[in-house]
Amino acid sequence: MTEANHTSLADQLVSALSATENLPFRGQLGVHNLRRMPLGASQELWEFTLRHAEGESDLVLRRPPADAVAAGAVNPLGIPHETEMLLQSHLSDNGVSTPRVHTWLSSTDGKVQGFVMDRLTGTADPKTLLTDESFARCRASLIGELAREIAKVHTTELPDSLRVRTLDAASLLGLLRQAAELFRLRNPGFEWAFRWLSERVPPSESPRLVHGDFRLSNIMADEQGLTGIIDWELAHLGDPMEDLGWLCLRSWRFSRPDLPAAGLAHRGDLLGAYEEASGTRVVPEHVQFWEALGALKWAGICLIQYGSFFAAKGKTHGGIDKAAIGRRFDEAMGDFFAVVDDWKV
Amino acid sequence: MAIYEAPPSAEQIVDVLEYFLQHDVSPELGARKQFRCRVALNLLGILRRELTQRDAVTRQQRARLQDILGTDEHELSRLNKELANQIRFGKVELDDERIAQHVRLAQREHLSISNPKWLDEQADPSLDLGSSKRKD
Repeated sequence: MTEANHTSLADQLVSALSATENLPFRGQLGVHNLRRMPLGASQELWEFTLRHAEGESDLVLRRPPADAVAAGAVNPLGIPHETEMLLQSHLSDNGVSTPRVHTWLSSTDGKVQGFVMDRLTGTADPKTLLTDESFARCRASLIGELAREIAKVHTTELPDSLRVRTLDAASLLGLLRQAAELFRLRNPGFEWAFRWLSERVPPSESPRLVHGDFRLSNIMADEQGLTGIIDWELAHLGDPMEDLGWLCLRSWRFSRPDLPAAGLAHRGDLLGAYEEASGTRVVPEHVQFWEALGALKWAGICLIQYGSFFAAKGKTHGGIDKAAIGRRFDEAMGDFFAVVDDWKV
Repeated sequence: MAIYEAPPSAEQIVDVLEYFLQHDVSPELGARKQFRCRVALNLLGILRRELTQRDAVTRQQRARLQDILGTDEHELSRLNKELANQIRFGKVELDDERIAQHVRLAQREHLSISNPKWLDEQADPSLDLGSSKRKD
C-alpha cells in the first residue's frame, strides 16, 4: 500500500465520520497513525487514532480486502458485510461485549465497504493469552467470562429487519458432502466420520443466534479479562452448542492441548459456567457431537482451501499456505477421532 | 551405488533445500516472509517423510483394505474408493471392528507423515477401541 493510498483512506474515514450524526466525536476530526493490523484472515483490519474536540479515540476499520471485492469473492458460509455491521451494532446495543460501530465507508454504488468501530483494549493473539505471564489473572477467569458472554449472544433476539441464515447440523453436513463431492474425496475415514455424525444429529430446537467462529482468535482480552467478542462474519441461526463445541477444538488449544476448553480449562468448567449463565441444561453428548462436527468442518475447510487453489489454472504466490493448510486435513481428522474416542466432561 | 545413475537422490535434494532456506534465505527476510519460509520448511519436512515413509504406509493400508474388502485389488486408490463407498452407502456397519480400527490407524499413518508432532501431543496415543484389541 502506497503513501497516497494511506492518505486517501484517511480522508475517506474523516469524511465518513464527519458526515455521521450523533457520534461521540465532535469538532474538527483528524485520522492519525493509520496502520494495517496483522490480524484478520478474510477481512482487513486498520487501526487509527481519531483526534477530536474532546481528545483522542482509538478506532478500527474492518473491510473486505480490495482484491476480494474486485473478484466478487464471497465466503459461502459468511454473511454480507453490511449484515455483519448491522448485527454487531445490534449486539453491542443489546449488552453484548463487542466493539460499538460508529459509521461505514461506501463504494460508489452505495454498498457498505468497511465499517468503523471502537478499538477494544488487549490482544486477540492466542499465544499471548495462553502463555504471557502478565495474563495469568485473565486466564484464571476467562473461560467463565466467555461462557457468560456467549450465553448472552445465544439469547439475543434479532429484529425482523436483520436476517441471517439458519445453518443447522443437517445443513452443515450437506455442505460438507458438497465439498467432498466437488473435490472427489474418496476417504474411508471421512465417510466413517460423516456417517457417525449423520446418525447422531441432536433434535433441533428453535434456532438461536450463533457466533459461528467462537475461539480465542476472535475474542479480545487484556490483563484484567475479556474485553469483547469480534468477527461476526460467520454468524447464523443454529444450535448454541455449536459455539461451545467449536471453542473446544484441538486446533485452537495452541500450547495447551491438555485443556480442551480453548486451552484454558476443562470442558466441565465451560459447560458449568454456561449452564449457570444461560439457565439451561447442557446435554454433554450434544456438545461432543458439535465438537466432532466442528472437527469435520475444519477438515472440510482445509480441503476447500487447498482444493480451490490447486484446481485454479494459474498458480499464484499463496500456494505455500494453501498446500500447508491442505495437509491440516489430517490433523482435523485426528481431532475427530479423539473426540469420538476420548471425549469427557 | 552407481553414482552416475541419478545423483543426487530425492532425499539429498530435500536436505540441501532445507539447509538453503534455513541458513541462506531466512535470515535475509522480514518477519512476514520469514513466517512463509517456516511454512515452506514444514512442507519440505512433509516431503521428506513422503519419501521415506509413504511406501510403508501404502503397503500397510493396502494389506488391511484387501483383508477388509476380501479382494486382491492392488491399487490403493481403488481400495479406498471401495471402502469409502461401502461406508457411505451403509453396506457395512460403523462399529465393524476391522473398519473402525482401520480408519483410525490410517488417520494416524497420515499424521505420521503430515505432522508427527500432532501425534506426540495427543492425550492418549494408544489405540484402545474397547473390546477390539486386534493388532496389525
